[in-house]
Amino acid sequence: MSELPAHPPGADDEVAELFARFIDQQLDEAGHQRLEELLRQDPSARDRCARRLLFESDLKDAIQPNELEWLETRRVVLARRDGRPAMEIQRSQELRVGPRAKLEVATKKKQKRRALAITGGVAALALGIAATIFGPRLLQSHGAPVLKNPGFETTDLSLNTTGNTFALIDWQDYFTTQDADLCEIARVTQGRIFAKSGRNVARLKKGAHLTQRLADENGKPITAQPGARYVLTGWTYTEGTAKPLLRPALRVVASGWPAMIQYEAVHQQLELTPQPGWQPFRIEFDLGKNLERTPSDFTIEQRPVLDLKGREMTLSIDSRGEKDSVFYLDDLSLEVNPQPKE
Amino acid sequence: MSHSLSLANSPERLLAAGGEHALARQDADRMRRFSDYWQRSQRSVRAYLASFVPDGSLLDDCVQEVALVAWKKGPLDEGDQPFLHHALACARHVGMAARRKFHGSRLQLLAPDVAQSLADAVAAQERPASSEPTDRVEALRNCVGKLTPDQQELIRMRYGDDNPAALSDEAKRAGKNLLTLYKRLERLRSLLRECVTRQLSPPA
Repeated sequence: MSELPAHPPGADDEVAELFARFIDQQLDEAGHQRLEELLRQDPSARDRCARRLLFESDLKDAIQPNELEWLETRRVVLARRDGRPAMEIQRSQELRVGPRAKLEVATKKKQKRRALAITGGVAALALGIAATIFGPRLLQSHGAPVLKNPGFETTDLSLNTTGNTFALIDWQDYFTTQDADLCEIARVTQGRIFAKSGRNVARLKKGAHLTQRLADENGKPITAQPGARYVLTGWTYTEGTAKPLLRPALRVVASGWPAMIQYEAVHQQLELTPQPGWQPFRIEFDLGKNLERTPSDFTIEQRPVLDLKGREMTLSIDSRGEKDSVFYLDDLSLEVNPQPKE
Repeated sequence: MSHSLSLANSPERLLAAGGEHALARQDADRMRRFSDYWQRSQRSVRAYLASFVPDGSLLDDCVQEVALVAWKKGPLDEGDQPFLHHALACARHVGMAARRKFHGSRLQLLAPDVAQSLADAVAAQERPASSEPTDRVEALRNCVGKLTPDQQELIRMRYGDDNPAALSDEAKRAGKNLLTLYKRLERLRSLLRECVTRQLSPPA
């Protein structure tokens, strides 16, 4: 290390001592001012302190090294499309950066949350039993659904060459369609349209659908219950002049393959007026007291009636508009609707 | 705390003949390059950020944030120097943002002009790499290994413990003045610096 002769004797020691105390956050006000003064005036003092910071960085790495952790999840869907076998692979990749201990803490936190969810589930079960025994009217509330990937931002399309993908993470449970895709809308429309929030939206052509199995915040499935009421909100953007029709439904999928049998607990429909700009929508669902239904969508001859009570529900958002109609969806939300309709 | 990002690939691309393997290879190449560049850069990034935010856990968070931006947007096809420059540019933004967030807290921060000039000095130091980062860290581990168990414990409390109050807890437990403990720590750091310099100096 070169020592500048112009420096008064002991100046280097002073900077080193002050800077060491600063690094340990043990410097008093007077020392702080003196350190700043020295660093402003003396380039060689800055260089020494810079080397000191690099040493600190090495020491941290030597004692608690940072690691990169790469997690990849694959979801392989085997189905029959147009009578032919088809396979779809969805991949979700996650990069974690940090010291191993902290990465493990993050994983343990997830496990803890899961354990809490299980404990919560057991507690809820006990409460449910107690409520069933001691008074059915005590248990009026229904599980609150939490949509996964409601704003479609889980996927980063910035590395995607086309700006769109048919891998709609957390959506298209049970069924998939080539008429619905995820797109970075500003890119695919050459800047004509921007997402309501974030960068991505779901694009639905005529005949397309989005489907998601409903679960609460702990991942517990939401089941059909008599009298349950929900409200679906979100934003739509219509493209072109053909009239789109938004047809959302809460369904029970009794079978997906080889025979497809679905039951609709409730459905609504909303005609969208072709006009530029994002439009908010709000759709209320009331399951009613009686949950016995005949199949709504099926590929078999028999049409058995089914009581949907206690069966896991899916949210299906269908596009049933005119030929060539297209609309975009963003920022969806499904919540319990406690207020009875007027 | 760990940070994460997610990205997915289009199934059409995966379903093309051999596409999945090609993509997996692409991903693996990208990961390898990022890992290589990041290992070489993280020392500078951490030191650079420390000019703006010297606090340990806050610094960890900032380093992670820079890593994620670098993974997402860093140049991985142009060699390690462009990657380092990009990472340091990110670090400047992240560091400044963290300062704004913690302005007025008990955290001791250098004045913005001083912090920036110190960060510039860190960046200038890193241009001609005098030795491989792994060599220096390895030498440091050797040197730490030569300390007594008590001394090693003190170093670990300061640099390896996630509890920021570990040293003050130790001072209370041992009935010692915290300042005394920090002075002892500083002497150990001086010993380690000398030890590393000796180890990395070419034999006369």
